[in-house]
Amino acid sequence: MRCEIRSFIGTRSRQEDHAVSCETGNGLFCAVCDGIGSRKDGAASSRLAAERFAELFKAGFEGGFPRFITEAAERIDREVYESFGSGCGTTAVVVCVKGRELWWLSVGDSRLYILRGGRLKQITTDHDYSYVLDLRLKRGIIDREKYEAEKHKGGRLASFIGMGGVDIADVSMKPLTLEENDRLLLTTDGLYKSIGDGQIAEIMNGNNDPAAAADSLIEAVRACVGTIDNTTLALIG
Amino acid sequence: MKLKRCPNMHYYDEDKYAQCPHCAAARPAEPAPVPKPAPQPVKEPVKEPAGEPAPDGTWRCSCGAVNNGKFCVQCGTRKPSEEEAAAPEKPAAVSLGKWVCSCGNENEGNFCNRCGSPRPAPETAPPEPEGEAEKSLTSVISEVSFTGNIEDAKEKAAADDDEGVTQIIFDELADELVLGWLVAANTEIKGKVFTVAETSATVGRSDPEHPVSIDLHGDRAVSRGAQAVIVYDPLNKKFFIQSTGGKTPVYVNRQMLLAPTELSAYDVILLGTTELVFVPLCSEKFSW
Repeated sequence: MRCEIRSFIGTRSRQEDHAVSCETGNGLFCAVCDGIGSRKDGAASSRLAAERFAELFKAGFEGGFPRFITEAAERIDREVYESFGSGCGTTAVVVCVKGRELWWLSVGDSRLYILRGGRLKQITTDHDYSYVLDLRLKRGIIDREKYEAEKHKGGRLASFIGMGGVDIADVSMKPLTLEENDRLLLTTDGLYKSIGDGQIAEIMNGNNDPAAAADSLIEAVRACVGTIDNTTLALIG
Repeated sequence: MKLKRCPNMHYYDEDKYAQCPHCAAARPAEPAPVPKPAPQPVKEPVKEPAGEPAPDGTWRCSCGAVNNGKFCVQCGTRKPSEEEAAAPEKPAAVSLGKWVCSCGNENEGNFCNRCGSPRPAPETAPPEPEGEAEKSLTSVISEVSFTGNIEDAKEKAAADDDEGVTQIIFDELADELVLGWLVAANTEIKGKVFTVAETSATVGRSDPEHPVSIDLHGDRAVSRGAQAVIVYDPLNKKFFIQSTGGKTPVYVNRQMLLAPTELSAYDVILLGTTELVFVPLCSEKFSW
């Protein structure tokens, strides 16, 4: 499997996304991070996090990936927090592909998708305030009135690396077994907020070559009008 | 004072309390009566007149329908020969109205009683095979994936607004009237101000299922959920603090908090490793 990384600054003045990939005996590793905008050192936070994830992965680990990656996430959270103080941070979506096994972790609203049999499926959850509100409503912690009153803040990030104590995370506890022709997409919100899942699927289905698909996805974002966020993606296939 | 630990690991003064006050506070006064379910009309099972002979010239199918053609109009079963009369029963099919078969015969059942052709499929398409594949992928993902607090994940593993800028949820100021403040006196959040802005303010560490108003989210020595509650008494203009009986002991001026205690200006609350200095706004000198 190959990993193709692409980035587009959008209409922003700074690129605060960062992505890395590497390959070791433990498999193909890739991390895509979206630094938190308007906050000082958003770009530095995402760079530090992505590079530290890769460094720790390269250093090797004993035991399973879920344990390694949750400990790594908490450690890097602390490092980002200590380096840049509160008010900075980054999302992180990371995968490890070892043979046919897919492992992942996500903190924040960057996403991991899988394209299987021509269909695009989001694997990770967006850790925004909507997630928290839905959960609280479901558990009876808040009532419908409170839910409706808070809903407009739903897009705000509820968990990220660098908050000084990561809260919500998505972690694979067991591997997802990959099938032949499965393709993976790691992306920051710039992509899915610009072009949506339907168009992402269409482009991935129309380009079998991962490099061509990655280029076409970025081209589709470039073609959008209005405000465009930083967009970074990694296509594995 | 006699310090006693209850089976639920709460500390209390045995001289003052016969039973653990924390447990008593946590216990609901009376269990809510469970509403009795409304009586459901009992569905009478449709009786199959089994064994009842069918009128002359007709035959009774195993599904219960009486037919005169070669095939059952209800389920499409061929008219049995004498030997097949004792065939195993088939579940009754639902009648869906009249239809005309390709052979020209008008039918009411699911199969043509002249030629045995099945009723054409309804307009709604059968589930696509891709839909099934997607469903199974969804179930596989939900089986292997975990979404929730990272500490729970670790435990399990061991065992928009201004120019579309990302905002985070906990830097939101409360829109209620300020009653007082708690100021962090140590750790990396030294100097951070927490606003006590509700008539009842919880102190602890938030997670999505256990929200607290004063969230020491960086202090992992504080258990998740509310560990202490600060209550403002508007009549007497006094503040009180009480432990919730959670896992983390609460100290006020280095004395363990066992019973509701009045909070005075500059009292130091210790929770986990974080010291919080209490600064009241509301007092005899000022109140809302």
